Amino acid sequence: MSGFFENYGFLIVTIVQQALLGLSIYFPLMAGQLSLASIGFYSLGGYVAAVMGTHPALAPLREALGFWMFPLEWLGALVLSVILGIAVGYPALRLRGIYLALATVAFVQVVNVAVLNMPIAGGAVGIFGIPQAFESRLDYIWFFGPLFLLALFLVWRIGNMGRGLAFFAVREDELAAGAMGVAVTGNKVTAFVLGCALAGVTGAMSAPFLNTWNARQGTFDASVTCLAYVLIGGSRSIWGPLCGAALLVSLPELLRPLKDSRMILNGIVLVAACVYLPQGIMGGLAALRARLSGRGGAA
Amino acid sequence: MSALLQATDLRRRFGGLMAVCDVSIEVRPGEIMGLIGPNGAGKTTFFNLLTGMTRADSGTVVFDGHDVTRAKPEAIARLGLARTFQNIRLFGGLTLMDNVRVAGRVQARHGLLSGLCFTPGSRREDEAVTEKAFDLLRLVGLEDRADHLAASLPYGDRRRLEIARALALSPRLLLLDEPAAGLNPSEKLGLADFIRAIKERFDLTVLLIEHNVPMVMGLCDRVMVLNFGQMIAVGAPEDVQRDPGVIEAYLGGDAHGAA
Repeated sequence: MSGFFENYGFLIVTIVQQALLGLSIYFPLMAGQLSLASIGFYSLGGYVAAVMGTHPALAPLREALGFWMFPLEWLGALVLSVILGIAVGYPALRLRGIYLALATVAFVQVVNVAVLNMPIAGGAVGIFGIPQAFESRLDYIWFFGPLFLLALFLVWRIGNMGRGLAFFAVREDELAAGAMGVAVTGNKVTAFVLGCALAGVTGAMSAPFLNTWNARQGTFDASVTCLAYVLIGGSRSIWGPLCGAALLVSLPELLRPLKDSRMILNGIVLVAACVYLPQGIMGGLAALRARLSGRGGAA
Repeated sequence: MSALLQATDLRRRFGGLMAVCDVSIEVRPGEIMGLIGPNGAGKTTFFNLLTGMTRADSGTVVFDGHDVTRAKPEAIARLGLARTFQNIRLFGGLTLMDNVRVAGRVQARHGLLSGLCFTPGSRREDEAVTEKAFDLLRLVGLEDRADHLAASLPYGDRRRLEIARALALSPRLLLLDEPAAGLNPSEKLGLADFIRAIKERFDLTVLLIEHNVPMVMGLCDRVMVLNFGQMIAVGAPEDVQRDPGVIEAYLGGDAHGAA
């Protein structure tokens, strides 16, 4: 068993870390908003932690706080993400559908170019030698695990309490939601900022986990990968992002014996998932369960 | 008696089309007012102006003492002005119950944090909203399908659900946009009685757009007529029915000569 964790521990922690990014896209989706901005906030959160963890001017603070420096980094990333999320959200969420997605992609690019040109962020090289929180990478599950449970709780609770209905009403029909007294813009921004905050804190936890942090953490490719977690996993189930992240993170590893042809098979699996499971893996499972319990007759 | 809703010189232009042109009207508390007019007369645009979904180019709307001309739809809804839509806009992916609960939370005081922390107040509020929503579903006869998705309902039931959802706002004024459209004759008869019943029960004022002239004449205390965006008549149903301008609008310019 210990051999299993030695070999696959990093993979498991990475799955949870990536599932967090998937969930950060899931929040705005609850209110019907397709945002790819998460990776930008993830990148910024990581830089906050990297700078706070390595900047010489903060050395006395780090000595004084010890391990508590890490929660302080999360808090820094959280505050920055919320403020920036509100600032970006209010104008961007006036756009709908594909235009909102484009605007958030643009935001990710702006963040990317900005950090590349900020001396404090280390330019193209980035920041390396970020202090580790644990000796073993596997122990980072104590960072990502509780955050993941908290995010799952938020998604579950929002889906089950009266106040959460406002998000779904906006998702279903903005115009009707407004006519029923739901503050449309406010709810869109709230759902968006929840996602930003989660992505930012995930970034702050990831900087020590990955040891180095640079602009490659916040690319367009990474945005699309996060979106794929949700789409492949299922966008209407709280387990969808975890499911999608587990598949997409582990697939290249599982297919490693196939050497170079593994990326081809990886692609085939993704295309097949899109074609045969349009509601994602969780959606497919739900349909299967309905068919089995519905005695074949129910539509 | 002061008006519940007062529109003054309301005007809205879409490009070259004058959709609503300087319409002024008072809706008095407790009355059922009909709004009729040929297709494209600006009836739905007029509703959209009243509910904040379309901005007026000029003119004012005062509802219950508040100037709502530039207010957002949600603010107007919270003041107690509810509406249904001509092309039914339910939350298709939500259950019947949740459709009504969304509107039932209009006066809710417990927000996101309160709910996330499981405060007793937010639980009681959720329960009260759910109970009220169930009562409304029973009123429209859909309580046995409370947990079905709204998208699964047949057409006539959707109209009833939309009215239940509007009533969940506890409105003072209810705007109904062609509530009888697509209903069969017996459903239409039932609808007029239903509108009268909910008006009494909830102490409502009703403004409805309707093409079905017999229903309008039987149901409404007063009727206003729009044609090409202009109000050409307002008054008791029998007076409006005899108005030469109205007859001309409905039957065409040659009607008098041919008759």
